[in-house]
Amino acid sequence: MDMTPAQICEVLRDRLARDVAPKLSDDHAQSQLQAAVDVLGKIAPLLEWSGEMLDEQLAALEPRLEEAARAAAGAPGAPAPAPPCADRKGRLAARQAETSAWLDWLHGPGRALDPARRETIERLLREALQGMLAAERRRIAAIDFSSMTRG
Amino acid sequence: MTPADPAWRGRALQPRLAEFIGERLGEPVSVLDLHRFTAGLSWATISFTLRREGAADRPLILRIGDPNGLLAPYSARPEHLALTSLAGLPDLPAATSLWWSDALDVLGAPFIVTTRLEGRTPMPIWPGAAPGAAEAEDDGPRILDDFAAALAAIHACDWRAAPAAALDPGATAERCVRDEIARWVARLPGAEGRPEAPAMRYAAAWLHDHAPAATRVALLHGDYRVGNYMVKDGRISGILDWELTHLGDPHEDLAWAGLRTLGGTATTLGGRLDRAGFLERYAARTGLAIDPDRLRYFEVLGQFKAACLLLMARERVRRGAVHDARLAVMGLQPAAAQMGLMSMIKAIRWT
Repeated sequence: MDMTPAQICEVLRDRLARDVAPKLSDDHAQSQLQAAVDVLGKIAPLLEWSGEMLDEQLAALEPRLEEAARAAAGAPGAPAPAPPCADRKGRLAARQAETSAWLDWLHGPGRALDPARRETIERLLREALQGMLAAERRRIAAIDFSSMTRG
Repeated sequence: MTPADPAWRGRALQPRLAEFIGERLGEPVSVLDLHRFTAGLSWATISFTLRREGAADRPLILRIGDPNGLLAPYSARPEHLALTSLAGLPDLPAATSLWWSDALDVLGAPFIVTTRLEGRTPMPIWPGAAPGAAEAEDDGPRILDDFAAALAAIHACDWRAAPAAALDPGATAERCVRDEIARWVARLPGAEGRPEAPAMRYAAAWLHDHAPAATRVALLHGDYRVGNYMVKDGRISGILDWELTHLGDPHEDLAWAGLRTLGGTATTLGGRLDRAGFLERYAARTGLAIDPDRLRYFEVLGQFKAACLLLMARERVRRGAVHDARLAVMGLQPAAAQMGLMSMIKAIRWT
């Protein structure tokens, strides 16, 4: 997730203050809105995405990337493993970049690989991506746009 | 701190729009009763009344492409070219393009003014949703006929002899599908024609590898689906939202109309219209032999574009200065759309 909770809070604060506040004539409603705007501003710098989600995403990527490397052993130009990184966010970013390098290789020099090995690597990469996305998807419910669209 | 809101979002809209139209008509006019609709997450749609001395009031629509909007930077030109090319077709109720401008010094955003169509806009009914209070005529028997007939009319347009030729003067059957993929990839964060998001990178490579030549190059609506037509007296009274119009394979519009991401199911378009009946009616009108494999390819392309929209919403939030909080809601959703994309490719690739 490359959009931070602080960025979301800022969008909400800005729209509440600019679009909603000027249209509210009720004093109590106005006071509640201003409180919400204030709280969003104060908590924004304190928020981070779930560490568990990042762990799950790393768990989806790392073993499959290692397996892909074994499947491609000896193939020319196959991507090198991402360098170690102590920071969890940095590690995930590096593994995502490694995944992208594998995808580029698979659709470039990797085309010369025999079909069975190529298919194995493609399956591993697809499963890695599915697992990474699933960790995010599990934590965020689907949109209900019907309540946000009228007229 | 975000910059000040642009002219179109404030009180300057009314006088500036009146001045713009007045200059085109060569006489002073008044703009009244501005009302913004909440439908649509890309262009802002605003109804207004145009008043001229000695003439009846005229209800019109102003569509504005917010420079910070979902698909920005916008141009009003494609919608104008499509509407002008399709004007007057009996099976296609669509607005008439009156004036447009991509200059930012008028309203602070590209915009187009069209005639106003009458009717309600039935929205998709999502699987599991409780039945709404929609009037029976929203799904009446003539709607499906009209929906197929209007798309057939759009695709029958002789675009090479119409203003729409300017959309892509060099369009060919061999190239147009790849061009559409490239247009969407270019909208995403990334470099060298490759999306930054790994799942989108994978999908883009798959789409390029399997891109077919078009059965023929047609003028496409680009966003043809439940939610983008109006209904009045049991008939479709208007086809809306032409911002994504382009040249391509007719299967692309057919596939988009049924996307699950847009409320489609195995048997319906948008939870409202019979999917098989739509394809049958369209084929009967056009003579096109609908190719199921091609349709599945374009469903993947459609899902890719839907995922692009969500990732673009996320990118807008990252950059700041967002004028619609609903983009933040969209920005939380790309994972589900990308998982759907992966599953669709898997279903084709490994079965």
